[in-house]
Amino acid sequence: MSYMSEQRIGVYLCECGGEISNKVNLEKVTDAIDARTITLPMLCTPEGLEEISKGISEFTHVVFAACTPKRIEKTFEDVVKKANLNPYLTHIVNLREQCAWVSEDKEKATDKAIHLIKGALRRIAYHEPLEEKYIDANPDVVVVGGGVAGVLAALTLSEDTNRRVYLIEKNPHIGGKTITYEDLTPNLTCAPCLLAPPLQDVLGKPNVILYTNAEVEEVKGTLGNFLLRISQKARYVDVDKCIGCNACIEVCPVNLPNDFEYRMKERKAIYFPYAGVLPNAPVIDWQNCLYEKERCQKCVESCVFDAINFDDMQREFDLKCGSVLLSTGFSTYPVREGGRIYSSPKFERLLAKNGPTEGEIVLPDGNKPKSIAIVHCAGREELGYCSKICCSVAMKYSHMIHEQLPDCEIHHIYTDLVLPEMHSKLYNEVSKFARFHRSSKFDVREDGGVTVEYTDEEGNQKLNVDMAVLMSGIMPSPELKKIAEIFDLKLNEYGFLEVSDMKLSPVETTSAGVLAAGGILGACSVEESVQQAVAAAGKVLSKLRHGEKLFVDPKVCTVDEEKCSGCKFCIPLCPYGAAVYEEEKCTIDETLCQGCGVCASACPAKAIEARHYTTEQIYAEIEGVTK
Amino acid sequence: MNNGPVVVAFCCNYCSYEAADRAGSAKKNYPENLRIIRVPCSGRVEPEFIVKAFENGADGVMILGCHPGSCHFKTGNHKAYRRYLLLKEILRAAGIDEERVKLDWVGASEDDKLVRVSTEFVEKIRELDTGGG
Amino acid sequence: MLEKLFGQKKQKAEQEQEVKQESQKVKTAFYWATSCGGCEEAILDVREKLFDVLDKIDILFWPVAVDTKYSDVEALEDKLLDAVFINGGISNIEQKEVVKLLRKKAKAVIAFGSCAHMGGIPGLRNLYSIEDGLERVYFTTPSTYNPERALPSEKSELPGGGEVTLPPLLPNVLPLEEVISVDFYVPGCPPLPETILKALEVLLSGDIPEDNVLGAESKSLCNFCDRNQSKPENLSVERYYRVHEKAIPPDKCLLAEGVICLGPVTRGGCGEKCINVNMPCRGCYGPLPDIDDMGLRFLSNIASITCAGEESTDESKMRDAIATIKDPVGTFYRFSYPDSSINKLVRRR
Repeated sequence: MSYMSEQRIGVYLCECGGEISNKVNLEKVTDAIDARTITLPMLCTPEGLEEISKGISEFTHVVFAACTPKRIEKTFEDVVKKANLNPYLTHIVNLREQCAWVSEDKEKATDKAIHLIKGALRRIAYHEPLEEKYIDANPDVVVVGGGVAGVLAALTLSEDTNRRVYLIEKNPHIGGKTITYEDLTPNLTCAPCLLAPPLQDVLGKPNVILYTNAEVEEVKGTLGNFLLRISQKARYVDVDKCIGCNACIEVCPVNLPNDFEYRMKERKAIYFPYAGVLPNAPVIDWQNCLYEKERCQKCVESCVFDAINFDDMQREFDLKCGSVLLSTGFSTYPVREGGRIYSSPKFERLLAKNGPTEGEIVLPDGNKPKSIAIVHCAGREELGYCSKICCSVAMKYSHMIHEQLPDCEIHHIYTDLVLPEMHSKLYNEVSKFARFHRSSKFDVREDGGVTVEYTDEEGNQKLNVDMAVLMSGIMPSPELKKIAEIFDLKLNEYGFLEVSDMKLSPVETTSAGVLAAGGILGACSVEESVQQAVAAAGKVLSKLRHGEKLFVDPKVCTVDEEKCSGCKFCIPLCPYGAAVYEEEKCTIDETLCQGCGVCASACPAKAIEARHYTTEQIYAEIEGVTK
Repeated sequence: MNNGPVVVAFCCNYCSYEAADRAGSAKKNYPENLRIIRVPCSGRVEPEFIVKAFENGADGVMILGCHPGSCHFKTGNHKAYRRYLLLKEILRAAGIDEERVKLDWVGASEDDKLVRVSTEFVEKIRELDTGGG
Repeated sequence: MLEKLFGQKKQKAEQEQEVKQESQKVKTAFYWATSCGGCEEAILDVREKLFDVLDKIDILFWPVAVDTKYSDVEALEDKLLDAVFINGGISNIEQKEVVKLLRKKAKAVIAFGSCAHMGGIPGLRNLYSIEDGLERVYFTTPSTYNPERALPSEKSELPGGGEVTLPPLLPNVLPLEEVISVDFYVPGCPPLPETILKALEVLLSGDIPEDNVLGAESKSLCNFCDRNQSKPENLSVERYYRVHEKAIPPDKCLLAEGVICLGPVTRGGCGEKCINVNMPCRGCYGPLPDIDDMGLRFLSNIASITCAGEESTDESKMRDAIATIKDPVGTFYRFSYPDSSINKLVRRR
């Protein structure tokens, strides 16, 4: 049923400077179709548009037979809107790309053109004016993951003080992996010195709200209006009251190996994972705390600030925001460690001044190693890719070992060296004292010392050293799967998050309003992480501007309540969670619907219409193009 | 004027419709018999549309969607594929040559594939028509 | 027309004053074409309420119950019959002629039951040629013993002389509306007594639905089905079962359990009789008002929800899942094949 009883349909035919008219006989088209036609040499030129705007008010519905709608849609829309005609009462026939330019025979092309225009004419009779809506967008942002990428993104976003930034971190502290390193490659910058100021900054920003021990559990909504369900584990220490004086730690009777330090050091049941951690408040390991077993309250008694609270509970709450930035980092390939065999992240802690040995490179027996083998590419074969940053990190290790133990022999066993630009400078320096052995495969085992077997051009080689460091490959963090599931995102073949376009949208995920940065996207250096973080923040800022509203496409699906039988089949079919069941009826949230029409095609009651692609419009177009 | 078979192609806005535009820009010809109807997603195509096309005299119908796993709307193309599988079974049982319906995956950059698939399909339909299929 | 029949109910005062006259009785006829006889039974199932009605109607033709001949019908004035109830699809020349005759004599024709409404189960023979159909029925079904290959023929000579004829089969079983114009439809295989009474009530009220389907609901069975609440929001079916292949808990949505149930596309109003005995809906009450083709609509829905959970890009997985749907055409179109756009297309060719 058409919305107007009196339809006056006009057809504008574009010659396109001969591009169309040389292949399609437009006079014949005019004769064949039952509507007022106006042929112009070029519809899209200023003259053409002027001509259209002069005559268009005569019509209630307009068909433009021109080039591809993808190129010209916007231009015609503007002209039509200026003439106070609803743009959804028009239709574009793709006469150039999909007819003139792909046809050989003028007669056949003309026949095809006539049919395509007939399809449009029949279709347009069923077009209805659609109302374009704008909705308020929430300017706030949730950043998931408080590593270097998350923190830098949060800082960038919080520059605008009218915007709240929620930083969700699953650990009790922020700073990610970077803060646990001593120096950063390639310039050997001191990581804590570099990162402490931005971390302090982010804690001090009034419009950045940090939730440690927290994770996202559920997401609803899309760009402009997300609703996130957050769960936060109990910390038992009030971060706001605690000043980090250590009094509680001194009195705690429990001693445990510190997993954070790869068990190279002990900790208490109330502890800082490492010195200088931010926020500067300890956390209680509830499983090992003696409060529940023995009513031990030594820490509570020792705290003069009343910061310890055993009644603290796991809680869940909702956050509203307009955009989400994911920066949950990476993990490292789990290599087989031993007393003298170190994975690279463990070795980082050995090098760290706030680490278990205060930065001294010593063997478990306390002696200094006289020889160290740095074995590259641990896990590369299993992972199936080069992690690209480890070679440079290995150079850093070499440099730091040499600085501390100038007499220590250093061996690099590698397959390929990936050391571009600044990183090769570090290599040039390291190659003066370290030895490089190129090998396609290796085996490392502990036998009092460490034996490294490898194969080079001359055959099988054996190397006896005091210590070995295995450069663990970079891999997706274990929680990424859950995150991808919650946000309905795709993972790439290596298990990292897939972006919407590697080249042109490198920080946008496949869901509108969800961005990503850092190790969640793949192996990357600190500087790359920060680049991505700032780029992602920029994307958010450009989309969620204050006072501006988000356009809601009217070409979405709607349910006719009268026809809906409440059978609920649309609900599992909607890829955006836009279809919901309430009070025995299904409804579709227009702000979430993206207009794919899958539900309309599947609705058993034909109660759902895909606006602008309604069943009767498509039926009519089918009739027109075939008959 | 007998221009041979009429073939309706439902083209997804994000892949095959784009590929058809590219074929146009590159001036790669394909039979004029193909009449493209733009849909937001191959998942919008109802089996009724296909039968409707036949009712109106189409000799063949194509549904050209995004490759599995790369649907703009995540999984609309998979739904289109499953409907297509079942529809073919129904057509077969009803005595309509199932080869008159074809679903294929044509990515936005695959203008060559669009040209090849549609040319082959029109040829196939021509054969069926002359062979009484 | 039928106001005469039930008008008294509305206005009791008038009823008392009214003098019953033979000529005032509602003149009706009943006819069965290609059907199983269940629809005739359904009329008897109205039970005692039938007596109220019988008192007020004149049955001028009802082959199954009243001794009347075609010639009696021919003798009637045109449009004399107030209401003609026809059940069964039309599959031979005789039926075609009789319903045309009845149409001529009727003010209103009511397609009664699934077969008259949509062609019904006998309509599935449209999937085959007449020859293949006869071959199957007379020679190859597992229970057939016919070594002489005896086949009914249009003309047979009787042993004592003379001959008998059988009406030739039409190439297809047709819904009644394809042979004559139909005023109203009462769906069901067979229509329930409640549906019949409701249909009469609707007729009397004059508040006739746009699509002229009487006695049934315009919402689907799911809308009335108690199991609908068990339907999961993340519904996805990985494989399908025939009814005997799976035990279905009595409170679970059959379709969600993988048993093909046509409830989503079928009109309610049947009291969910099948569902209540743990059997899936087979679609006898016909499609919802906005559906163009019942089987295709169901197809689109079921194909969409198959493997909809974890959408695998693996085409073979989808093919395997779809392949577990046995006899889709017979299942999706159990009652409606002759009424389907696909069968109409085939018949037109």
